[in-house]
Amino acid sequence: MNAAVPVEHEGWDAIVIGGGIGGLIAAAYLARWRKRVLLLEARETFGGRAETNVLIEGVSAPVAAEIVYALDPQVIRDFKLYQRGLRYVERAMPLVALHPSGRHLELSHEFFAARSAIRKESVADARAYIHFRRELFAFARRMRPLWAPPNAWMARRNPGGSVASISQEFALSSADTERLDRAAHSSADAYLERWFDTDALKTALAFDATIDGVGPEESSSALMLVWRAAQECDGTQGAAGQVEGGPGALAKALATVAREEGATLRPMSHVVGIVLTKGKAAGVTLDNGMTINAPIVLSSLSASQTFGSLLPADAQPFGTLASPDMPARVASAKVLVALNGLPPFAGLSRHALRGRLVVAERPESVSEAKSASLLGILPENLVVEATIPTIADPSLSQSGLHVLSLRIPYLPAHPQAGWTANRDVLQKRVLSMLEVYAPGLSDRIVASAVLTPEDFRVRYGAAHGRSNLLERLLQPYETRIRTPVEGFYLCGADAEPADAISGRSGRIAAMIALAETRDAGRTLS
Amino acid sequence: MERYDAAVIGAGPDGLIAAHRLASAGLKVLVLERHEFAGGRAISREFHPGFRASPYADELPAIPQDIFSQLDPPRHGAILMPAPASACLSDAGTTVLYADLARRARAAGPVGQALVGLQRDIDGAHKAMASRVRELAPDQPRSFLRPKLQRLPWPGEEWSGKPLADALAERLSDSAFKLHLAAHVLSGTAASPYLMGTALHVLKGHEGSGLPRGGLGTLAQALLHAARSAGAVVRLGADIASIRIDHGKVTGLVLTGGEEIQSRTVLSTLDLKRTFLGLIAWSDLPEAVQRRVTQFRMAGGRARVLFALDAPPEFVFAGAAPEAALGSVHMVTSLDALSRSHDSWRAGLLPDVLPVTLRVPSLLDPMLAPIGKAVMTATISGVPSTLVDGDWNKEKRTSLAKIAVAAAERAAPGVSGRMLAAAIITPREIETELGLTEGDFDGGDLSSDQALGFRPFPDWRDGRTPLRGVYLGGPSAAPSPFLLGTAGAHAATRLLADLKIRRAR
Repeated sequence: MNAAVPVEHEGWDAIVIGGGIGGLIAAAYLARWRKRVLLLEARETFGGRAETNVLIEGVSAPVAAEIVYALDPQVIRDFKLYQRGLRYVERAMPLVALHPSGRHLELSHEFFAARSAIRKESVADARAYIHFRRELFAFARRMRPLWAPPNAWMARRNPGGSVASISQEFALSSADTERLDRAAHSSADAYLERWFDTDALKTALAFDATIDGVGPEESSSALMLVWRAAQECDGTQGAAGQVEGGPGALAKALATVAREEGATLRPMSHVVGIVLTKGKAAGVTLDNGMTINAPIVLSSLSASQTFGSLLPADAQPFGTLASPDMPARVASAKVLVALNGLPPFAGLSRHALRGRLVVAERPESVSEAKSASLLGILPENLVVEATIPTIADPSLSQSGLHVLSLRIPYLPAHPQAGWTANRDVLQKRVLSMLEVYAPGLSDRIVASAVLTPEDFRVRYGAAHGRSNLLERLLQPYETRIRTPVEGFYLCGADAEPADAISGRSGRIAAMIALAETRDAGRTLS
Repeated sequence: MERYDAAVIGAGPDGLIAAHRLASAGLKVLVLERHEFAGGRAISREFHPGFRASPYADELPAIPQDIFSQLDPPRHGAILMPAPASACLSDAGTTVLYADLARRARAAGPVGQALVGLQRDIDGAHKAMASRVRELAPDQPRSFLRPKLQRLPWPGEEWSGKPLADALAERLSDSAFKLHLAAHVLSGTAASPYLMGTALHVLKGHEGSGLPRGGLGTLAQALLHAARSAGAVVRLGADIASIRIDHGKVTGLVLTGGEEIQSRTVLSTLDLKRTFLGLIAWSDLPEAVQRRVTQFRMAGGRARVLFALDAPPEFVFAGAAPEAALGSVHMVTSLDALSRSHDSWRAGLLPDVLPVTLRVPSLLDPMLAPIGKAVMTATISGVPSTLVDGDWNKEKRTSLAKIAVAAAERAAPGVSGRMLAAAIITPREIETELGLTEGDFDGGDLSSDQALGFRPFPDWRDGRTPLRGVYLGGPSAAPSPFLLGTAGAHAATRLLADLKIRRAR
């Protein structure tokens, strides 16, 4: 090594690059296990995508993700997060399919309420819903050893990613194997078609498959529904919730936890490269030229950032990571609107307003929006998921204003004219669409902000195309966490099966890293 | 009254191959065909005085080697001529894929090896499928210790799951060849290469059998001859009104004239919906089966235009690659265009431009046209069977022809001046004449929950159905549409095994 390069010799055991949710959790776990951990974050604040920012004075809003449905319950337990300030202000948000005629379908998470809402549309569907919910949830629970492994040993059990081997490895019954096989090969549309007739119900339920720009008509998207149903929110299976102060508060709490466990958190430290010696991770270099050594390096940055810029070209990713020449074609955007008063949605109860309001004009709108986005066209009929976080969480707004947060899951990542030209078009189109459902909405707007896919790229790094959904959902965590470089692991959102605030990859990456150093120690002695 | 061991519905390639297999095993077999001629999709007709062409397709998928050698079509009069190359004209330029792999690798330059590797994988999957057709998977006893999948996995299932564009991008870096392959496998269907699950189409290829001399009808005649010489009785012009079921077991068939035919088993080569919703009384069908059959998705997207030409077309690439004119010429601008055609198809629209595959069969087989003249066919992809704005009227048919003419004019400037006549075949005609629901040439949408081990349903293994004695061996049964006649052969093997087991008892 060049002698002129300044080297920090502090005897770190592990370095975590990036202070996202996964990075913070990985650092906290490693510190708890008596490792000297250094976490390096390029920005001033921790949390990455889990960010709550000021919209206008007195009003803050979650920037990217806001609905929490996959936060790892084991992390909550291990670090006693409830005692340390984490509070769910909403733990079972209803799912509301808005209809232009005002005949909305309100699917409460509470089973009997949902069933009676469906009964208004179709008695047969209400009956089918009983069996659907029971079967889906019970089956999803049995998939938890794969999607929520409790320890490194479970996460490293490698069933090879095929339905038959997973069935064998996790001892699924014949019926569950059938269910897994069917879900793994069906589209969400086809899967729901087997149960229900009502379009509004199918659209609402299929909306849970819209993570990562996956379309409900694509094969394997049914498995996304099962994955969602396997998650839990504050102990409630398959529910979606909201934490006090938004995801930013969650990140802050986790940063405190990591510090209290003994990890060193260093903001404003931009990592530019990973030091390798004999093909093993040996440390990182910062943009000021400093090198910090440690035998374990974890990265919570996106896979494209990690493999594209941090690692030398010959250490390429393997397994489920999409190659960098396949950038995502479909991306999501957000429009945040501050309102003086509640949005005037016609025909919605106050309970429904606390939920996720899904706007998809026709059942085909979702597929059409995805197709248009694939071709780089801004969809005519946008699909929107609207939430009003300030109802359940008054701490977000001191001034009595409300925030309407609009997530648009299907948009072109690179539209034909670029995002600068389309930003205003998008905002206008979204708001005029919502005006149909909430007449007079535009009169109440105090401030608004548009976060286009381009903004997210600049802020959080480019996202990968995640077309190999089947592999991602069926392969064990280890294949996404381990890299070709010994001692180097991923622990961010790209190590999760789907993009969500979960932190599970942080926990499992820490466990795997620890187990592997132990194994290595054993072989040396 | 005569009692048959097996009645085969439909005298298409599947039906005739199944009948040949059953009759060769010593069964008394009756084949019933609605039309006055045999062949199903494998027919050719004179669409203009002196000009002959195969109306639905120029070539069919390849026949597996073992079925081919059993039937020996050349001995029965069908001489098959494989195309030496195919071409693709797009925004990315002109590409040529030669049938000879060594030549393909040489001509494609840097991506040559990748192309050959991909083709080898596809051929390997086909070979594995063919051997799976020969053998039946054993009936495994249910065990609590080892849960088993009800369905039996088929080779090639590893392709399901990904988008076609990504599966190709993983293997090939050259966008022009990527497009060529995508256009080749998606020809005559409606599927977006960007949606997950479409990679399965890679195994399809819309051709492989080779062009039979005299058109596809010759192939059908050869198969008919082979089935008859094996001892099968083939009755043409016999339209079936219903399949008679007694206590969940088949007893025979009723023709539209009222004639009853007794048979121990029935092997239908019609598609799933035609068989179960058209030929079987709803009272004989359990409600759950009815619901499933109704939910089976069809995805017809093929239209054809047959042109009689005054002189052979002169393709723009004729100087660089003269052999490519003998094969398919794909006219697609980009992958986006393929995706767009799927979008308009889904919406039931007929846009001005659609992907078109041109073929001049008379260059390989001069008997199809009078001396000096030529026959050209155009296969149009992404044509909805039901249009959102009305019926397939004259105006719509004309605009369909215009799409084909525009594509032909781009590929061979001046060809439109040589056109003597054109015959237009919309998905509607494929539905009414050929008897395929929604004009779906593949017998069902080829998404991963309806393909291979899932086709038509995961628990209907090897062509068996919930009705005892009724077998499904047509386009809706595995492994259709990947290999020709295999679904029929597979169901026939299952039928034989089932009968023999009962005989032994």
